[in-house]
Amino acid sequence: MLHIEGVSKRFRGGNFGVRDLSLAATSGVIGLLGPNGAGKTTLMQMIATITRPTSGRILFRGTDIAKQPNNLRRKLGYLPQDFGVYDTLTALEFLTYFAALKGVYGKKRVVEMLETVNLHSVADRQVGGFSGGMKQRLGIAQALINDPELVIVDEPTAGLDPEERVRFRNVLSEIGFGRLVILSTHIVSDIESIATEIAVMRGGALLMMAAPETVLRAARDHVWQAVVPSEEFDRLRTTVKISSAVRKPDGVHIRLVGPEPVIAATAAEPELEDAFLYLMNFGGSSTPDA
Amino acid sequence: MSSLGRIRTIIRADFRVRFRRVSTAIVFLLLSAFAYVWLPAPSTGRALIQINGHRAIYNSGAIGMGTASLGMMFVGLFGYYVISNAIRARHRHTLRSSRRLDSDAFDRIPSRKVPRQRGVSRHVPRGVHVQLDGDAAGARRSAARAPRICPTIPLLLTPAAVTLVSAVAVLFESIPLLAGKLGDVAYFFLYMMFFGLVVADETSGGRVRWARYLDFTGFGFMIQQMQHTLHTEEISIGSSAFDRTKTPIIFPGLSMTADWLMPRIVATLLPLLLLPLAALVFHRFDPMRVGRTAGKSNQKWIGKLQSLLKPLTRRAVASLMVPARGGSFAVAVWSDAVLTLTLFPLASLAFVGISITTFAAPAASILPVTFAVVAIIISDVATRDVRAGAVASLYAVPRLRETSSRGSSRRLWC
Repeated sequence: MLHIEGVSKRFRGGNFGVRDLSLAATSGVIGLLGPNGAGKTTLMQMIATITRPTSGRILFRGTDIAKQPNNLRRKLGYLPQDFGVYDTLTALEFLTYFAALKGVYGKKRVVEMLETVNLHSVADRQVGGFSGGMKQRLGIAQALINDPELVIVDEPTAGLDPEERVRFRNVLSEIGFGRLVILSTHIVSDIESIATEIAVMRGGALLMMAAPETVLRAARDHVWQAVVPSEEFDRLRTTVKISSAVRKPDGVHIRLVGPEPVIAATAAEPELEDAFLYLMNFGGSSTPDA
Repeated sequence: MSSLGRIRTIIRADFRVRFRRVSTAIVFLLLSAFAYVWLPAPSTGRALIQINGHRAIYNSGAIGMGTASLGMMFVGLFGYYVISNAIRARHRHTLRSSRRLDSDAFDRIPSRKVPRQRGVSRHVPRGVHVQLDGDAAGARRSAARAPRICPTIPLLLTPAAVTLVSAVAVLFESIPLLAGKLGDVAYFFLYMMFFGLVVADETSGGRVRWARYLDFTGFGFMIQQMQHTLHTEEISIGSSAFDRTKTPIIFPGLSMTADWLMPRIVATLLPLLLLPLAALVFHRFDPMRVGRTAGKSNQKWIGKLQSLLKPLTRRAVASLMVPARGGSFAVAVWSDAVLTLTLFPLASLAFVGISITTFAAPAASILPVTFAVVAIIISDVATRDVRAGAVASLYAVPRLRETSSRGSSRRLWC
């Protein structure tokens, strides 16, 4: 469905937002993972036809989206990172407006979408008074109103409280069937339960794109766990990569990531958080796997 | 850091921020080009100043007059919006970054004088440069230099306009009700009121003496000086055609007279009285609180009014919003128009009210109100997507407007 061929985006100052990135995807939920500044938003914007690549091609169903952007836009649902709303519109009015812009017929579809994102009970309330999570759900409703084949969701959980984050994650997992969803985030827990494939970006390049199991395998034999006293933990924090730390009565239970354990530690089964940290710090090669 | 040091640092940062943008360089070059066009070669049959058909020779007085009048217009009409938007943007930035900047707005006022005076600062040096070096005028230079006259004229005309726009902008931005489009419209009418009052008085012989003290625009002083030195009101400033058969005349420039000294000083200082008033309502100069209050106040006044009217207009407007299959130019225009009416229940009411009034009142009496309403709505339409943060979402939908507009224009031309 989506083919990205050697795409680069170079900014005016000469910096690259994305450099020579290639991938291919058909359907499912792709979790695009990377630290801030990795190039996730730039890539999302290029796929969403907001900005053009400096070089390379993005093909949607065989059509170059730079040449014929409307072909993709008709099948696209996009929730940008800074999703804004017209504060004085009600949720119903807001969705009806976007439905009209996207050429969607019938009020039934608007009501249906409000029910999907669980906003039907507040359909007549002005969206200016919505919480961050409600606005994000309204955002996903406007993205899905035209029943898109490709859904792009850019950092949707930023600024949401844990409860809203879980609710939003559930909405995303429900919409993933039968379409391609690209979900960009720097929060590993957002994608670990819903992504069918994970793409890891760093410095504008794609480090890895694979099923979650494959990503986890990349960190196998590189994750250890240990219990250390608080004083040693403070020293270790600056010298080794620690993916998690929990203070307990017997000391601090830590998980270390690296090629070798630097202290006495036992091997641990890697989790996605460990794998991400490992790839960010020790995964040097780009191994796109479509 | 001392106060002067802080001000210097702020000015330096402001200068860098503005002049490292390509848009600033382009505007600067365009203004320079405009200043060049402003001074046409006499061989073209046009001149900077023509008086009763006579061409004024390009001397210091004429150059100074041309640059000063241009500066007056820029400062008086656009200066308010520049400084007002600068304060507003500052509020937004402070609110977004959740960072309290104690006394920040007033601390930054010296730096905000940079944009406020930009119109003057760009044109005064240009006039001085033209006068001293004679490059733009080149072969056009046809009179002796008198370097002091040229910068004197802007100094006589523009300071009052600078203090007026600065003080009114700070005051309006401090009052939540006026810190928005209502203030923008109100300033325009305020400016036109002062302009009309003074000009009408001077052209009718200056019978209302106190009107001179309200000559913030400088036009009253300019007109009176013209009448006094040239004994005419037939004068045009800017590139305009002159009568080649008439002999060129020397424009002596403007000079301060005893009866104008006090009015000019008062007109320059009078607007400063608004600043204590602004301080009273400026929440101890805390822009963050002012920004929040402005939002709440808008909610309180306009928002409440809109909310009250919404039930009246909702059903009517909702029936207009017809989702349509496929994209077309008509659907795009219709959706936007309905969005405007939905966002502005007041607009719907104004539309109905104006339509009914046209049957009862003459069109001439309704036009100003209609223009004011339309101006407010259009100014909102132009920026509402950006303010709402909905631009990225709109860019990702099929380009109804773009493609349909192209299609429509093709149909129109073919």
